[in-house]
Amino acid sequence: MSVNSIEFFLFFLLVFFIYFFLLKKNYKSQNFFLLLASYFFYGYADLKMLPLLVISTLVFYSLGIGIAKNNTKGPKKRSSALLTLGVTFGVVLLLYFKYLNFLITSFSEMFDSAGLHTDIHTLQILLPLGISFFTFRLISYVIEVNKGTMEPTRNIVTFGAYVAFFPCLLSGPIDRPQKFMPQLEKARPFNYQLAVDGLRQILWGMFKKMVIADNLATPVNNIWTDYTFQSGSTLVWVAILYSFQIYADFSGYSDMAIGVSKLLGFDVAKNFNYPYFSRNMSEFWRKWHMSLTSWLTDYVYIPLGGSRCSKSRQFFNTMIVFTLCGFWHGANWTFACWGAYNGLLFLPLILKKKRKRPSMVAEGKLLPSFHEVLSMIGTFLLATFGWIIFRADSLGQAFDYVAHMFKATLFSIPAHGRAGVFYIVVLILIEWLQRHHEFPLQMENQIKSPMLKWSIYYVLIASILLLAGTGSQYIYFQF
Amino acid sequence: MNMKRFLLRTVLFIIPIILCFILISSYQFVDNKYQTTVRGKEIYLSIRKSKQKSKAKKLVIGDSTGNQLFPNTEKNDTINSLACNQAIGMVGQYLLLKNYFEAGNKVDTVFMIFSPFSFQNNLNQGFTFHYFLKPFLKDEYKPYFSATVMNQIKKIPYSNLVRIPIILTSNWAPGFVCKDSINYTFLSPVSIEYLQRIKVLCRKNASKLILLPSPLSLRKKKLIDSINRNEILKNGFTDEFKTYFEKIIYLDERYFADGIHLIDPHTYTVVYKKEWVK
Repeated sequence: MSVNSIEFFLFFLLVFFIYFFLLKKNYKSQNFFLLLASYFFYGYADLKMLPLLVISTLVFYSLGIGIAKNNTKGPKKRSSALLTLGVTFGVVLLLYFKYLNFLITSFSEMFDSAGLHTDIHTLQILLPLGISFFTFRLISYVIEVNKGTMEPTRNIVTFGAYVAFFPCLLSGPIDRPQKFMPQLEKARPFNYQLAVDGLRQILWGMFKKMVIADNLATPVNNIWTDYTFQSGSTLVWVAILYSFQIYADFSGYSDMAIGVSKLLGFDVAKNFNYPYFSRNMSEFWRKWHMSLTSWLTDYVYIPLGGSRCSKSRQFFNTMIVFTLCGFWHGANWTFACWGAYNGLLFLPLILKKKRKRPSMVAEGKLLPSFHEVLSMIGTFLLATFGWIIFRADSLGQAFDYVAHMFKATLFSIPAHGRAGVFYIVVLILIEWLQRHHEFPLQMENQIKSPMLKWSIYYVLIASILLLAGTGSQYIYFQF
Repeated sequence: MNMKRFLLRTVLFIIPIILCFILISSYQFVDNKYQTTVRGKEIYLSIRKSKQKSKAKKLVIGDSTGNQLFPNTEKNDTINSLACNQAIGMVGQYLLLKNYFEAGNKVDTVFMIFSPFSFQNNLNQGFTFHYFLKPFLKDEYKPYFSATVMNQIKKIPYSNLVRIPIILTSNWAPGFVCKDSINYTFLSPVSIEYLQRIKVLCRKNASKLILLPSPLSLRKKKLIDSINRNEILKNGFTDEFKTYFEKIIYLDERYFADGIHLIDPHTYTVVYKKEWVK
């Protein structure tokens, strides 16, 4: 049930009315209902794996209480042991469901290439939907409880609702417990402003997904199927199209998930902040999949020493974090390589200590400076090169794709996907003009006339109805 | 108070959209205008043409590759083409042919131009809702649906809503991924049933049925060679497929826009007319 489907619309309509009309007086009942709705949502998508979600929730709930108890009364060692147990449990879950077959195949190939024939078979393991997202939520909970930044909840319903919160369950954002759980522990009356903002964000997310991403998906998928027969310029152009497709797809989903959360009265983590307007890779990564990046920064990078250490150590830490980030996306060397590639791009920034930048390009101006334009284009091209590795089925295919790009036809006019220019220009223009806001439809201060605002919404709805591309599954659902 | 305001404004916002939808779809539905604007309009054109009288003694039916070689938009007194899209399945091809004969048309030869991959269609595709159910799931055609077809239709979500004007006149289709296990390499159960019916229909109307392949990319040759020819034999289509595979014109990938559809089909129309459709 994807967020822009009719099934979801009907499901959400029912949830919304029960949540705010029948249960509005008691937030505990709202939480219980939210938990049931989330389990229904997950079960509808992946019934076989629902027990896994429930069991993991119960385990981490108990661990949280155990850690807190030992933190205050018992020996510190015991709480650390429980934390290790929790983190290990989460990692083992991921390793088993997501990476075991990959490890088996990799080892088998390694032995085979060394001339040692192995007779190891892969296992039939189904990948539970959203496992990477809910496992990270579970791990962050036990870490935060152990750090003492939050009290563990004694209410299993509250904890379950946090872990399985349906708008963010399958593709994030990965909310932190210390920010999200307090929202579950207080009354949530209907918030008009938040709900209206949520609706606008859903509309913008749908536009990005259905008009931009889905229309770019067709040429991208077609060309990637037959890239060996395409001109170099077409391959470069398709790599650029893919950069916009993945952005519009994932950020579009995030916007819809955040919008739905707002309708239910929740303020969830922001996931994108106009990443393609970044002037270096450090800025890009502070604006792309922000909830994952900050998770990795807080729970991996900083514990490893962060940036308060020697440059070589900093670089090592960065490489570890990015390779992990790559692997988080999937069990394939392409993802690891994509992560490592992004880590490598940090090396010059670490050496020059040039990592902090003002948060917004061309602050207070309509147009960026020439230098800023060059920096943004350079950063975009570096990211785009990374997306080729990310999109490829194997490293061999990624290298082959790049090799085919640099043919004599590199400077010819791309033969396919030219209509993509329209979608990209529309997206860039709108986002550039509205880059000061969380999402472009937040325009209260610029447009006062409700008629004009409504006209803009109608134009977006009309373009969704008239220009929507062939529906393709969300790219990030597979992670 | 807030909630009332929110609901009221949301409803007020949605009403014009719903009204527009209803008005546009009703208008398109009443004068059948949608048949010339929706995706797959070539199917509606073939349906209309299948009910008209024609002097042509040769009839072409087939998928989109057949439509490229013999476009159904062309008016021709020698060769009439109803070739449109593989998504209508073999059952759709049968219904077009049935309409054509029922309109009192007499043809010497029916040429079915099909890419080898189109025979695999078992009404199990994401396109089935829009390209098959919308044009064909109506009372007029239901008596001709076999149990296999009905069974496939049942698997497609919202198939019973297909005749609602707002759905019929739009490009909307539910996301549908068929989870059936496939135990055939070439001929789907629906194709087997309806190819048989097409054979019978042609025989009854004293027309010769000739199956022709569309040109294929050289890269697909291995896939074609791996087709289990026993499926043809055991279903009694040996005669129809006798020369089908031999006639495949393999071309370099650069002649195709997407690996299936030719960039310049007209060059090959000439070849087909010279060699086979004569």
